[in-house]
Amino acid sequence: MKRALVGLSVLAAALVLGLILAPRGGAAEKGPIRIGLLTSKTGVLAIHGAHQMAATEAFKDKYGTTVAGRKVEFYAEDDQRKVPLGVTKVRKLITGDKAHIVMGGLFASTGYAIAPLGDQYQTPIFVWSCPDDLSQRKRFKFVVKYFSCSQPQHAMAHWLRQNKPQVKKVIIFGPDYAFGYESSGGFQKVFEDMGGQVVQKIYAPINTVDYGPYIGQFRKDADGMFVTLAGPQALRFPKQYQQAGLRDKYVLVGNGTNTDEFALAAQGEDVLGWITAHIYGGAAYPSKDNQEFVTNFKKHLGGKDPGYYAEGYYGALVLIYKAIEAIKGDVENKAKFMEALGRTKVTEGMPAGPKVSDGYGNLNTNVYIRDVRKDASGKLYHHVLHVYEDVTQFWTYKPEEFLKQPVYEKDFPPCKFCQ
Amino acid sequence: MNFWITQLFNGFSYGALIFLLAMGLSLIFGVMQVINVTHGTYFLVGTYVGLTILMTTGNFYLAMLGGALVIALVGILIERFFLRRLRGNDLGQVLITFGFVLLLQDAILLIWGPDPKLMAEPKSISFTANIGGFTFPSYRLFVIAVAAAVAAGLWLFENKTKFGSAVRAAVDDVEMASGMGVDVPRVFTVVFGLGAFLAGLGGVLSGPWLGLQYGLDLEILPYAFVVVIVGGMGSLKGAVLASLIVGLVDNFGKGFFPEFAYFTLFLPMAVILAVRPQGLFGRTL
Repeated sequence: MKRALVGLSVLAAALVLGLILAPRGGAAEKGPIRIGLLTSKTGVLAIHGAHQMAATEAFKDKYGTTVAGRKVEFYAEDDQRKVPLGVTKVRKLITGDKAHIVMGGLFASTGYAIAPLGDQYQTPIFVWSCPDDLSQRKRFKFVVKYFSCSQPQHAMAHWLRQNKPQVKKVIIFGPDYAFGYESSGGFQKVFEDMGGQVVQKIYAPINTVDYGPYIGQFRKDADGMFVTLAGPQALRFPKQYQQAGLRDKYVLVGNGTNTDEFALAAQGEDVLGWITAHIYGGAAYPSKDNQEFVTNFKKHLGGKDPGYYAEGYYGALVLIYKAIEAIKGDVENKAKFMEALGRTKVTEGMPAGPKVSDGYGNLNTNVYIRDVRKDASGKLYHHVLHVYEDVTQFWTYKPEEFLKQPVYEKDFPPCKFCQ
Repeated sequence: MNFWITQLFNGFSYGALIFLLAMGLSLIFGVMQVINVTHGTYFLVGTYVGLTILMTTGNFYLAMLGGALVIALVGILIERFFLRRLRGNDLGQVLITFGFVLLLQDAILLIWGPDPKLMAEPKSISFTANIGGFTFPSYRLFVIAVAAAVAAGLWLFENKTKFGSAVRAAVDDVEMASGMGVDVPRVFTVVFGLGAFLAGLGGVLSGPWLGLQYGLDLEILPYAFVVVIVGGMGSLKGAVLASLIVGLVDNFGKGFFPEFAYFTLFLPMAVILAVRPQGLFGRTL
């Protein structure tokens, strides 16, 4: 017993000494810059996490782990797709790992949940996903984000009215949370402002297993569908939609997540011809920057194609490096760092084209209208039909007026034509 | 009218799939008093095994049989070498079945990777059937047929074979059955293997319908638990009826109150627990 006590005290003393003598990081000696990453590595979204981690590796290959003369360390955390766990993990990254910035959050709802932590800890948070209101009516001083969920879908509605004017009555189907409401709301707003009608809106929980009950309700008098599928929905819905024999019944357009590369190979023929809008043109988009990114990415994920989940992660990291360079590595000055993040502009090296801050904490971006085609070897890919350049989150509306309306919600815009 | 027919059919077909998953869970629960949390994962691993067999042989029916047999074997091994050691230790058994959830999930990641996959249904049942002006996905008709055949087979097994009556005896009272000379350990192993077999079969059948995705196991498991509680532990009649109820309630619930999809699913369970805790056809506890 006595010996154990002695042993313990020696151990304790050694620990204390070690703490005192250990080289200390901190502002004075400018240790490494620490970037916290939040993704989902386990659970239903494990595949997205794998894509995002491979994108991070591809990013390191190209841009290295030194910026503005300082080393960069990455700390990746897994939120298991659970919003509250995401909040805990961001807190851990900021207070435990002392991250200078946190980037990530796979879900729009995660984005809303982690944003307040930025202001609480006065630490920049780069919300990788697309919660509209974080750059609209609920802005936080320490939060910027990659795009708005509704941003590409305004353009989708415009394209549909312009190119397929025969589609007048559209059914909206989407996941039952912010991402679904905001994507669909953006589509509905522009579609109806251009003379179309949304005649039915159905939202299903993201982990819905059987879509039969929803598919059975689709109105027969409609001629088009605007579909948003998140995560696992992208796999189950197309098959069941096709089995229900609706393939030729409606003109189907939708969100880029419907046919993202992570699912495309598995989806097969069921999504052939599906038209989607997104901030990424797809792995096959022939621009030089994109092809370089795709080649790098494939090395880290067994030759698989990247989709928007990977591109977004990569692009956000490029923007973060750019901001760090702009302030010459002085990330300890959080306010200055944040300000630099809020006015980034990157025109080169981006897989999805230029990204320019809009002053509201969001980025102006290209929007790609793509359809799914099959190449000679039988592999599915996205063919870009049209590119809308430099699209803002407000589409062509005046920001002041746009911000007067509520954020896109389940019941906004109201469904005037749902009888 | 069309709405009703379509939803009724959907409810039936989904109920049929849930039946295959829940029947095994119910049997295991009823006979062995083991809450087999791994059951959903058997289902999912069965899908993956089926996919591999389908890709190597190109025969969907072989994949159904093979997937089910492999999972039955996995179940038997787990029962024989782990659960048997923990008989009577309820908490230990639940924990170990949960442990196997994690192990098998990781095995899926390791062997098949995190990419979602889809299984193609055989061409012969890949069309949209048109019956009396209504359209039905033929694959769902096929699932209903398989589930009906399984239910009939189980009924024959339980009522017409000696071993089946031993199983029924074990559901009613294990100690008494043992006293009457029933080889209880063997009944346990067979029941567990049979339960796993059904889960594997349901899993392969779900491939062309729900797709293969890491994490699906824990999403579908609650449905099976609701069936077991509503139908009563170990009861074949109960499982058939409760599966149909769950399938239909889930469908019409989603049809009429899409916002309350989970509420409508668990409502029947709560009601049953309150007024008839042993389930519709369960024995009194």
